[in-house]
Amino acid sequence: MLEYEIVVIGGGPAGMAAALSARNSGISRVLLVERAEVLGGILNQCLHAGFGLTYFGEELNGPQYAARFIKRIEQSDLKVLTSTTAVSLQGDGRVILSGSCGLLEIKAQAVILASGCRERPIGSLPVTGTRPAGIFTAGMAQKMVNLGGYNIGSKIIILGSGDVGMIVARRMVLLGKEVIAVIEKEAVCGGLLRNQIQCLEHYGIPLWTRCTISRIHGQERISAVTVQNLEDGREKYIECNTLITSVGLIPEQELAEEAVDGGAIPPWLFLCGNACYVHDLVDDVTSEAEHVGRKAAEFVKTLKQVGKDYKQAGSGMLEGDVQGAHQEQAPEEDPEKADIPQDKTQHIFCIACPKTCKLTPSSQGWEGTICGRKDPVVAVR
Amino acid sequence: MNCYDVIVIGGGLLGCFAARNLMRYKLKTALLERREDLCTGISRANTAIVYSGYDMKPGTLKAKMCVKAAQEFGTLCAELGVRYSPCGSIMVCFGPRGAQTLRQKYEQGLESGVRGIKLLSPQEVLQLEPNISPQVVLGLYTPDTGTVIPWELGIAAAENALQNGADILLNTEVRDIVPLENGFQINCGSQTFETRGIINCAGLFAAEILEKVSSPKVRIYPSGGDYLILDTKAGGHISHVIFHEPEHKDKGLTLVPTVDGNILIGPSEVPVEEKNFFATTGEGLTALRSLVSEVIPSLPLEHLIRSFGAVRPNPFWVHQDPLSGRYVPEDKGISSFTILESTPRPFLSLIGIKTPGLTCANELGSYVAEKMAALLGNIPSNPDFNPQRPAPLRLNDLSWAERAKIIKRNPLYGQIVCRCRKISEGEIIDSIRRQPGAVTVDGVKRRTGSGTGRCQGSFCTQKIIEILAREHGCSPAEIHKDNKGSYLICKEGGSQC
Ligand SMILES: Cc1cc2nc3c(=O)[nH]c(=O)nc-3n(C[C@H](O)[C@H](O)[C@H](O)COP(=O)(O)OP(=O)(O)OC[C@H]3O[C@@H](n4cnc5c(N)ncnc54)[C@H](O)[C@@H]3O)c2cc1C
Ligand SMILES: Cc1cc2nc3c(=O)[nH]c(=O)nc-3n(C[C@H](O)[C@H](O)[C@H](O)COP(=O)(O)OP(=O)(O)OC[C@H]3O[C@@H](n4cnc5c(N)ncnc54)[C@H](O)[C@@H]3O)c2cc1C
Repeated sequence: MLEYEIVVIGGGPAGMAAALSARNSGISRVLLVERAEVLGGILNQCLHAGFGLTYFGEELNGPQYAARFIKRIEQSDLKVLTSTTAVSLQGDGRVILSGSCGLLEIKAQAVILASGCRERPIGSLPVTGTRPAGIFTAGMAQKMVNLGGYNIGSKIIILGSGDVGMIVARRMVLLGKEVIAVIEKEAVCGGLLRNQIQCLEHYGIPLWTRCTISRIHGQERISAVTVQNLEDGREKYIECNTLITSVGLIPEQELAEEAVDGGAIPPWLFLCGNACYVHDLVDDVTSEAEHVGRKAAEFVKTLKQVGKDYKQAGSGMLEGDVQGAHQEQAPEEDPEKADIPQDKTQHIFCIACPKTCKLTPSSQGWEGTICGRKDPVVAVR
Repeated sequence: MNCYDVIVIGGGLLGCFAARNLMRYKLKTALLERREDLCTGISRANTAIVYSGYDMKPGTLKAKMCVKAAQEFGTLCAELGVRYSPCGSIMVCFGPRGAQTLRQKYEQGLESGVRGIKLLSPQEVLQLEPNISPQVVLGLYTPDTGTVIPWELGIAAAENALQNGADILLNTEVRDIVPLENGFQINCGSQTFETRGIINCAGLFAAEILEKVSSPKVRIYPSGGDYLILDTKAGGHISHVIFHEPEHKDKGLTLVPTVDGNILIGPSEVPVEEKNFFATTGEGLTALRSLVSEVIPSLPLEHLIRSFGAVRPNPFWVHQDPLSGRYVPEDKGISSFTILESTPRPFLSLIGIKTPGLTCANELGSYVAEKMAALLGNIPSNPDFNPQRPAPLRLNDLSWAERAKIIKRNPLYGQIVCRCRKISEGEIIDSIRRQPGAVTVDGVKRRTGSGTGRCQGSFCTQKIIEILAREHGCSPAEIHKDNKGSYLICKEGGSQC
């Protein structure tokens, strides 16, 4: 079994920033794991500009933004494993990694989960009809077009006016495809105003608000959709050969759920980036992840101070006593430390971000506001 | 000319099992399927339940086959290397009408020899299934109910048939059947076959196939059904198959804790436009949701990841209307298994086999194979028949140590492609190289489970297209989702671009 002080799962902007900041906070054994062949996460498929305005004070595209962090990582002594997937996160802090080199079991004192998010599938919506080929989620379409160089269709309808949907709409127009409309069920655009102007209005792509797709047509490949006006219920049959959906992003927290202990996130586990909640801007992802990297570093140092150095500890080192040790070191008046779950059954605190956000149990899992955001974040059950 | 003793038409569950059981005899056999893969018709969209047999009228062929099949299902799955979850079932009801039906089914079950069948008090139901609505008035339990993945089972049977010498021909649509002196000629466009006997397992189209050699006797009138699938996160909510016997409506609810840990909810009963129309309807989905709130109110429907539509092949006897000359159905559909034998040449048809066709697939296959062997004249049994089909490697079923060993031997088993179900590149390549292997994205999905998780393939589809293209030595634009015409990537210069 290999041992690391901190293991960071996911090499997107969040994971890279967290790993670098943990290393810069004096932790020497940090491992960064990425499933893809290269670091960068979602940024690699974002060929458009619009990244780095607040963090670097200049406008970069996705790969350029990623490249700055990849360079810092190459210059550091961080251990990086690409083409390697974290397949299991055990309750005692062991991480199991799967890659071409084999199956690795890593013992970590702290784990930072920066696994990003996934797209909500169309199956979760009340859309009826057939299930033919030609339906893509926006991120999948973006990756196929921008990284795979594939031609995925020519007559396109986009469902959902999230940022990714609008960016993909513009990309398809730039590739010479016909984007019939972007369809949004709310009365206003779902994404940033900036994207509405730069991606839709500048390219004359219609945005149909208060509309939805009620039915999908086509036997083998999609041939049309029925668009329903939610105000008056009227329906319109619109021919297309491609449907791209951008109907929501869901944080990938399944590994954290595996490690959950009695309803609470264990103290050695930290979440950041889109794995914690979905961010609009990568700059925010980076700064928050740097903060999380520092907090994870502090946590590991605290363990050392109380003599729980991982090298001496037995295999069950992260069970029970660590939490106690951690609480000893965390006087109640210290706001920075208030993120330890005090009462597992009552509420848990978001341990990821700078603010002390609180999550309370609900029928849906955990709910609450995180970082001043109004939309409830369903965190670890 | 391709000559066979028996040709099986249709590669659904019934065709696959007919072919498998024909191999128990010394019969040169081929299975013809018009689509790019097996089990893409009714066998793709159903409730996935192995029924214990108390629903059927005691003494009928259906009841006898079903009870026997359920009791032997574990053995069959072990033979074929297929996963089976013998989870048992509880039928529940919420009023006097339902209670009466349950008692009647209990009596039927006893008479048919359903093992371990018993009535449960509301407390006993809630003890076994605490999430059922406390309004429940009676339960009916049987241990021999289970769940299996239908296409996993059908494909395993086809692989087993192939290992024992059968030919499996995909992309082969039967267009015409011409009687010969000693059998039939079957025309499939560019290919022609000669055979002594035919077993017709064409599912929704079985009546059309039969009408190629005889006048109409029976026809299939389709109806539809909708299903919902919940993510594995909702999986722990039930541990048995739950049948709901409704008080007022015709159609109750069925809930299945699937082999993969999801919950399958369905089916509704809705009209359908055409036989090939596997589509969901708004009415059906709404009906399911409202039933859920009655039967199991706490079921977390927010974990919905997919809905799909099924088509039921309802068989009716037909007669010719003397005035119009058209064939019209009798008022009532046929409820027994319809196995027709046409003369004078050996031609057996399985028509409109509905529930429990999945449960009885092997029994039905063995029944028609035996009958065909007799019709063809005392065919000797095949001493070399091997019922065992080696199971594919499923990393998720192995311990970490075993997995580590396998990855060491072949690093491709270390590369995770489907992140939700944790399926490796090695398993995907296996599914393509096995015979009959996957040629489509859904073919890989049916064999490995890739793309069936909570992201529904948005992360892995591109990679799977690329692996398929590499393995088949073609361009990614030639890889289909599920059949000809279901292209995922446009060919440059093609009409779609
Ligand atoms: C289409 C699109 C357009 C955008 N446009 C802009 C923009 O114009 N401006 C802007 O500021 N922001 C933009 N964003 C937002 C920003 O890019 C994201 O918020 C940011 O990439 C999130 O970073 P992350 O590290 O949390 O997640 P990701 O970038 O998703 O990275 C997560 C990484 O973790 C890896 N991973 C996951 N699970 C595992 C595991 N088990 N084992 C190993 N590795 C794993 C993944 O492979 C991935 O590389 C855009 C986002 C998208 C999707
Ligand atoms: C809604 C529903 C739920 C069900 N639930 C259950 C259950 O829970 N438990 C249970 O035991 N049973 C169940 N059943 C029954 C079971 O699913 C069926 O009995 C079984 O799948 C039928 O298989 P099949 O091979 O007859 O049909 P199919 O799977 O449709 O196979 C027929 C094949 O023939 C091919 N074909 C058609 N025409 C031609 C041609 N001209 N040339 C070549 N090939 C052709 C088709 O492409 C198709 O692949 C259910 C059925 C339905 C409809």
